[in-house]
Amino acid sequence: MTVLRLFLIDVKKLFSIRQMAFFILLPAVLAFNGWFVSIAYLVYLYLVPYGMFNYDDNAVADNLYGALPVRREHMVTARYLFAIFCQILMIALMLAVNTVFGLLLNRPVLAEDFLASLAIGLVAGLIFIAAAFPLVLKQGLRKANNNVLMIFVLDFIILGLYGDNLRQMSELPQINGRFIVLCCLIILIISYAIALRFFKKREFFDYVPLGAVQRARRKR
Amino acid sequence: MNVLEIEQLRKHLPRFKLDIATMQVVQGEFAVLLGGPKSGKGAIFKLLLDMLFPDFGVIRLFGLDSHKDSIEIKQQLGMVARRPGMLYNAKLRLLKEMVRPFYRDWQDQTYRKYLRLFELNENLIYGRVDNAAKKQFVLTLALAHKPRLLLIDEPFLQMPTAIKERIAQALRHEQQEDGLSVLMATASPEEAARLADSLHILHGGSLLLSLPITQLAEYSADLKWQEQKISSADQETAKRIAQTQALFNHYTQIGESK
Repeated sequence: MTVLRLFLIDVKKLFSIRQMAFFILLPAVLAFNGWFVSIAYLVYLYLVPYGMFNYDDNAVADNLYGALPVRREHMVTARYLFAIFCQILMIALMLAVNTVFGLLLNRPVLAEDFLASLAIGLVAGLIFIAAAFPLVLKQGLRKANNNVLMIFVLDFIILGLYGDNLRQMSELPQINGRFIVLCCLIILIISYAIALRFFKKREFFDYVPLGAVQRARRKR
Repeated sequence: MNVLEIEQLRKHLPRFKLDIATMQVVQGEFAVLLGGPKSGKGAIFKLLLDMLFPDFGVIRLFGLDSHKDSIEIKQQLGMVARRPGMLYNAKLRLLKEMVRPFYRDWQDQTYRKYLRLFELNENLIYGRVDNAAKKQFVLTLALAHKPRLLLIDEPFLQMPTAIKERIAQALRHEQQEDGLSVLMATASPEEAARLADSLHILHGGSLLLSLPITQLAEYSADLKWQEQKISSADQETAKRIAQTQALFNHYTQIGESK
């Protein structure tokens, strides 16, 4: 129940931040003809589920969560649930936009290219979430931001450079597509376990210049 | 009965070491942590909220362990942080809806009462109201779940006198009606002297002195403090403020020399 309440806080946040509407609608609209779907999907994941950490950091939301009677594992679970919710929301929006435009413009609805591109986006997105979340939950946004950006860029480049290869893989028999999704889910579960371990041990210091916390630990 | 007990607490922080031999807050008491910047007030609050973990020592709230029983403790604890982490774009009503489900003792009646007292409109957006209104709203949220202990960090910073009075009255009322205990952190000896039942002077992470305010005259007897000549009604308060100021200066100097 607590996890659900925390998850709902994130959902309420999502719908009360105006610029988030832009970040959701723009990638969804790009799905109308199937171009840049995977890239738009990945950018959306960077701006929305991960962007929520940025918003929380600006508002010093740690102070709010720290005062609420919730366990740390609940907070981590709620964050992962929110990321999955964001993915489902975008997939549903992209499928809907593509279908509507397809019907309106008399084009093939949910063409194979579009679905393949969306699948690539989904895989890249899951990998990004799985790598970025434990980092942010361990170090906090300010310290993890550069590393997460690097992960995002790498994901973006790999997607751009090897997107075609991935696309070919997704055109292999059904079993391989399922295998890839299964692998991604396993990666996500491992990431969740690691994030949980990190976050339970995390201490919320006031913002101090990098290195000061490590110096304090060394003295101890 | 003590609502808060700290024993032999030690914690290395990035810029200083927190070291508190012993400290208590009694049920129904208004305790004040008086200290300048980087004296450890914020760190103590974070340790109480289980956001930092002690290197050594024991923290008990309501007789419970601050780490193992943190969920139960937080049900009975109210927190008004200097930066409370509220969503800037949200209306006050939405913020209340976000926080309310987490507390089993939430009382809408109390929430409404303080909303009226502080003249707050639930339809306002949190980020667009002034700092005083923000602080009053967070205090309303904290009081609405009927905490036994309220932690309040610099509540009167840059606040008009009338609002300071209103907040102080609300706290006093809860203290008398429901036996609320308050632990307030401040850098102002004046605020401390006006409100405190007990005073805890911090400097550089060390707790230099804990005393009930009734013993203020005794402790400051040897110190030089200037009695201000003001109207007789305020004479007692003015004296107490001057004594607290002198005591604070004295112990801060001791802390510096250490």
